[in-house]
Amino acid sequence: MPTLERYGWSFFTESARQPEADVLGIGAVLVGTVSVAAVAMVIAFPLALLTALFISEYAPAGIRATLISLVDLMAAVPSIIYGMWGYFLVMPHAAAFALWLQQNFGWLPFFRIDADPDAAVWDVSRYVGSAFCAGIAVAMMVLPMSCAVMRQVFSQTPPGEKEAALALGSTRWGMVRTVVIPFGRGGIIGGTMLGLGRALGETIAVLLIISPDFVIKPRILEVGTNTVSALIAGRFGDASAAQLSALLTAGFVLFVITLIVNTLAAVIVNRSRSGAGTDA
Amino acid sequence: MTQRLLPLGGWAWLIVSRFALGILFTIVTTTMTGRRVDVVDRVAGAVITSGALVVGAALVSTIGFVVFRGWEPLLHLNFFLDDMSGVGPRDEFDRGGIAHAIVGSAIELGIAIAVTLPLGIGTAVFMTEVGGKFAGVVRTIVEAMTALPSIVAGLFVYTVLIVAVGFPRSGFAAAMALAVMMLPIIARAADVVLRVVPGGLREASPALGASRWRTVWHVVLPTARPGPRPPPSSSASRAVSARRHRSCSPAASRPSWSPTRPTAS
Repeated sequence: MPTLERYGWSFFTESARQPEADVLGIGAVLVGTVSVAAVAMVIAFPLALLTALFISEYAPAGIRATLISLVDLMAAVPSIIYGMWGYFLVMPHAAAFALWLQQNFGWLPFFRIDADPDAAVWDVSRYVGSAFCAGIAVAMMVLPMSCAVMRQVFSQTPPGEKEAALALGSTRWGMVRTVVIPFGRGGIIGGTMLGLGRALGETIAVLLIISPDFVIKPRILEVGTNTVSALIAGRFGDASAAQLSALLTAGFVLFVITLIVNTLAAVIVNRSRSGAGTDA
Repeated sequence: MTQRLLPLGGWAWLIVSRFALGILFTIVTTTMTGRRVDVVDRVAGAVITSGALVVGAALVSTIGFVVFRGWEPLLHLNFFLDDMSGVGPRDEFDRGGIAHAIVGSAIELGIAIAVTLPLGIGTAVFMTEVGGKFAGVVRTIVEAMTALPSIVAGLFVYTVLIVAVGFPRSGFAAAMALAVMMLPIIARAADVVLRVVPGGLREASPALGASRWRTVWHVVLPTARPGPRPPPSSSASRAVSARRHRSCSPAASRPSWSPTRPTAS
């Protein structure tokens, strides 16, 4: 690993990226990757869960197949489309929402923005291109994936147990809460982590939306962030040999992280009761 | 009045507050007639349904937005038949097109499929039919490779093929990046399909005196044929949309039918 020899262990903590000064590190992009993925999961997880529950338990049987193929269609939409959608359509609204969050919840450290919230004309440029905006687009991409996993596990719930709950006088929600969700817990966790693995590696939607910045920044609403994959996509072209090696190392680190997340997800899905028949 | 209740102006927030008030209304009316369980049931139903509606609305707005912003060039046939050579940024829609990009995508995808399909199905056959200790190792590696972020695959090919070997940035290199991405997906999907081939069929063939190769070729693969088709097509659709291989192929504005020359996609 020539990268580590050249830049030392501070490669993982150094946030600045000054090729002229030969200072290089992935601290900032690691934080950025995690914060974008975290925003994406906060948005995608409840929506995926609700959609999966709706499709498997609440939707009329006639339109269920249509809904399933619609979710598949969502998964097939190219990420660049979600990037454009996020950039042109969602970002203005997201910026307005960010302003509202700052005015009302600005005391939370990760909602803080270095701009005056009560300015007569608010400074839009401080609110766009943030990890929050990128997270919305990434959420759209991971949502169908985790939704598909969850729905598949929910649909394997033994009908006998569901009918037993209903026969005992349970309401539909009572049945879902006591039978479907406990049965599908492994699928819920596994699907979420699979989505997380994809969110970490997402490139082009993030690259379109963010304004690149190389500061360790936990304030997700403020302009400027970067992720490992966006860094690679944006910088590989003009990289010198040492920088290319550094980018490869960054990519390898990303690979290891997603590998761990996906392996954990696979283990959880396999170990849970989900999918196994119940003869009790 | 509504605008005062809302955190922000605009129709989006009108819908949000309409939803919150609707739930409140449901709670009040259900409390009058039913018990707590009924209230919880109704609210949960409303929340789940509206969650699905939000997702549906997002999907519709995505597709609608793309169509709305991009319908104009679609009316001109040359958009599909022409390329961008000699077309300036200020030209009207009746000049130029994306033929070069379509051709580029098709070439890259064709090469990638031609490379990965035999390899992927071969890997799956190895995992299910040959078996043994090594097959377990291969399966673990394949599982791990599906986690490979596509950007890393692109960067890998860029470093190995283009920087180290000195290959030109071309559709072929891009296809190799796609192949790296697609191979584990195809292998895993084919593995899943091959595993459900009935064991009885599999044992009947050697029992009649067929060799292992003839068993695989004449019994296992034909039985599984309806299965493997969706996996290649789905991984292909994932590969087409993957833009990371742009790291390998520079954008050209003329159609180039040769896969070793610069292409667009």
